[in-house]
Amino acid sequence: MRMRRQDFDDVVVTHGRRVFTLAVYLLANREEAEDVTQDVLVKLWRRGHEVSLERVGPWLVRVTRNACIDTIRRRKNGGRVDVDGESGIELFERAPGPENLAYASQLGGRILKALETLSEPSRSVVILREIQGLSYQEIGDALEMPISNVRVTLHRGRRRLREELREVRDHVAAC
Amino acid sequence: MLQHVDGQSCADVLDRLDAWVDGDLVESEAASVEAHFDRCASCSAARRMAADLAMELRSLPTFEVPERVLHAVRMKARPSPWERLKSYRNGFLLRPVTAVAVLAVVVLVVVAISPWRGRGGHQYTGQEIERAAEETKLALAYVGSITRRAELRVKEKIFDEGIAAQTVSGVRQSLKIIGGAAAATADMPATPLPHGKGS
Repeated sequence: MRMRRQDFDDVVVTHGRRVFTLAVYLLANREEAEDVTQDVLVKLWRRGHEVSLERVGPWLVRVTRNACIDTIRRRKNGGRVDVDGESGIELFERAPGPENLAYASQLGGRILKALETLSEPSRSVVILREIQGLSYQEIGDALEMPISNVRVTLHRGRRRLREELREVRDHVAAC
Repeated sequence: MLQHVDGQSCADVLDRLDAWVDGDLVESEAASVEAHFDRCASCSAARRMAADLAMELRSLPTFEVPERVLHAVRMKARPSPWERLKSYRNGFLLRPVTAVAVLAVVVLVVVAISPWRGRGGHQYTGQEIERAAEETKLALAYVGSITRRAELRVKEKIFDEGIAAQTVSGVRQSLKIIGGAAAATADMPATPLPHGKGS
């Protein structure tokens, strides 16, 4: 059984921006973000019966994040999916291509660059909280984490970002 | 870096820096942290950096889903033929007006194939045949028009031109033609019409 078409259209209007924005910042690549967004929304259509309308927001964030992580793993392994688990995975180590550099410039490369140094789940939590303005509760629901873990993860992410930005400033000052 | 100001260590204050940025500290706690900032240059710099970072992150853009992605999603997220049929069945075929039209078609088909047709020496007049043909066409056109637009058009005709009355009348006439169904014709309920049109 699928979602009613009207419900599906409403969800796309309400949550589409959140899905695409999360994918853009997690992947730092617009084309891949478009592919992931398309896949996630089609998956919502096909598996709408598995999620109630009240829970669709957290579900979309979770599915989008997982799809982005899968995309990143495939990049690192030449198309293979790494099944060894997430521990120690540095999600954004890859050298940026020209299109990504251009995109970084568009967003304000300094912050984006600093964001890329974060590993998961800090990166997702920072994006959801700081850029998308989700509450701790919403983030916890989406990532299936207790609120206390959300706070700690966000704290670590912010601290890491500040360190990164301080290094950049020091470097610029020294030049 | 001062280690203690007003009884607070810099480490304590820096631990609460994020809560202060988020506005999560109670008033008295926030006031004491701010007092520490006023006296500690190092923590004050950290506060500026935290506030700047939060502001920069919050000013980053969010993105609308591109139209080409939405188009691709719409193409893949279409109801299957069976789901469309179910939708029509639930939303269209069960309506009273539709039921009358379907009944009309069934009766007319029965008339057309009836083995008793023409028995008893009854000769159909040209007017009767023409009228029966018109009623059949109307009913078939109505049932055939299963798209929403066609449905609305037919609805307008039914309500505005009193066609429902004509259809019921035609069905009655057809039943009279087969003779044996005359009693059933008398029991058939008339379709209620808006605006008191038709009979």
